[in-house]
Amino acid sequence: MSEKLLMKGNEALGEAAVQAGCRLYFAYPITPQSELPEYLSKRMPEVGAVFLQAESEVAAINMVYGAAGTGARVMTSSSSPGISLKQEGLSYIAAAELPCVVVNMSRGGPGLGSIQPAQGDYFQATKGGGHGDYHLLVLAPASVQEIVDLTTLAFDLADKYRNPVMIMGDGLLGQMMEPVTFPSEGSRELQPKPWATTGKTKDREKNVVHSLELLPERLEAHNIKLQRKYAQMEQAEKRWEEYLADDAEIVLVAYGTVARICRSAVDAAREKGIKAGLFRPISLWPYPSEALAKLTPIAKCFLCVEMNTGQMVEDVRLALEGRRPVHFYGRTGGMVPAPEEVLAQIEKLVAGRCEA
Amino acid sequence: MKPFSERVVIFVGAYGSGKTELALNYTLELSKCREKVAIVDLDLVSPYFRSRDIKKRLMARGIEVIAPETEIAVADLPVVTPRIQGALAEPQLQVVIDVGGDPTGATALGRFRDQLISLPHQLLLVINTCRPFTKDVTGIRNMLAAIESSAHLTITGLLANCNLGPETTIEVMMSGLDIVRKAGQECDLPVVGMGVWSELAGQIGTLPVPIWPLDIQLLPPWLSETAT
Repeated sequence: MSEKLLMKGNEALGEAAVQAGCRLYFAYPITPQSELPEYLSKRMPEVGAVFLQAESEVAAINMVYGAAGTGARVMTSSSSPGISLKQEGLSYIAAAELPCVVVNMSRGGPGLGSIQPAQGDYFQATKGGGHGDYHLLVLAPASVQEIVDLTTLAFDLADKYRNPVMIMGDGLLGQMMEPVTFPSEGSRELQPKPWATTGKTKDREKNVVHSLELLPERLEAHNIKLQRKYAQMEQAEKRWEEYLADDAEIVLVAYGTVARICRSAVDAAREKGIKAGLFRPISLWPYPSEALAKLTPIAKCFLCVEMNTGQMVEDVRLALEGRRPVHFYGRTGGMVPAPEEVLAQIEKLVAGRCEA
Repeated sequence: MKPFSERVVIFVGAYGSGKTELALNYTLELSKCREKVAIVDLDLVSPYFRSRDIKKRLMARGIEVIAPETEIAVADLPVVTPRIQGALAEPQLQVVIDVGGDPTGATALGRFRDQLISLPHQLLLVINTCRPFTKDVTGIRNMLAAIESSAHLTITGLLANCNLGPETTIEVMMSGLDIVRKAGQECDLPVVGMGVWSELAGQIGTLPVPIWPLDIQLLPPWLSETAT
């Protein structure tokens, strides 16, 4: 499928997964991501693959756990409350070092919340979510095409590190339609997975998948091994995009849907002669701290814009190590900030000379 | 676009084919020449980008918006308001129905089948050939049959809406229209029009079907000039 199509984010994600070789998908429907299971319910049988609507999100993530153990490319998806239910399973999968892709098209919270877009799951995605010392790789697309590109990447990274990868979108990204193309097929030569539980043969030891490690010495050794892996991810997997950030005196920091809004606000600010720019983290974990800090010689201040109450502000402050003031503007509950609102914040900061 | 003589005009089609944009544009046009106009948001399947999202804008033009009220409007509950039945029974009221996508969405329309078969109406299948399941004549025919089956009604015409959003070109529209016209011939249905973004309507020249110039009503926030 190399022609250009007009697709919803949720559908495009499903197609990208199929084309990345995902042959097992387990999920439970929830708004605003249900177009994804719906699309895959039609598409998976066409390629002889498994679409299974589980009885719950907890069941779905544990099916992912089992299927990932066989080395197959496997995915689940949900939206905020459903992702909360999957946290125990994610911790198990991370502990067992299995590759899988988990999609969160997040919505207004906390609680059952609303079905409108939000980004209130940033802490959950980037700081743990489940129990124990583990990390997910977290990728945050900002367009339907980027959803496709990052889904392909997510499967590759999951295999490379034997680690769950989360695609962190929001309801708006899932529902909106944009033109997309898919990477050409045929380039999907998957690496062998000698660790997979595919049935013991005479020429190898048996493979076992588990997350229980009763001996403290062994569990600590396992933790040290995991931390080494996370350090490698931090070395190699930071991704970001800058827009007019080189000479910016005010740098907006935003991801996903909000980054699109901020881009419009930056354009509007530039038209008024304000040197504004945008830094968009694409990997939310690992966070592209060094790249952000490099903007400090020129940037006088930073403005975090999110559809939450300021969860990413901590990462921005850690990156800047107190060298510049970090301001925040956010909306919650499913309210989406308008470009004019963000522009008003930029103008307010300029009027106050960017001070706290 | 010229208003149909039928008092009831219904838009069905695959997910994301552009039913809502065409229904909204048709309704707004209709409100310029007809006294009493109502739009029914019968989309029970999509949570975002629905007619009800611009209720205030429509009401300001004197259009009645028939959709679930208060917080039910933003709940993912399949609510059908009783006013729809009443609106269909009002002889002076022009009724435009914006149905949810795919056969799943069209199921809700089937509930009004008994009332609709006795009313002169247009049931238009909106087709975007850049969408994954209606790329070709076979896909369009399958969609048509499945929607007719769940709506228990017969499609009266095809409405082309071939576009790639902001990347739409004349070529995209023309090659798409060819496919829709072929489908029309095979199904013995007229192609009643082609949706064309207003900015492109001047460039496209004359078409073998009427042009429906479209002003996009539901945009993501970074493209909206005013928040609704």
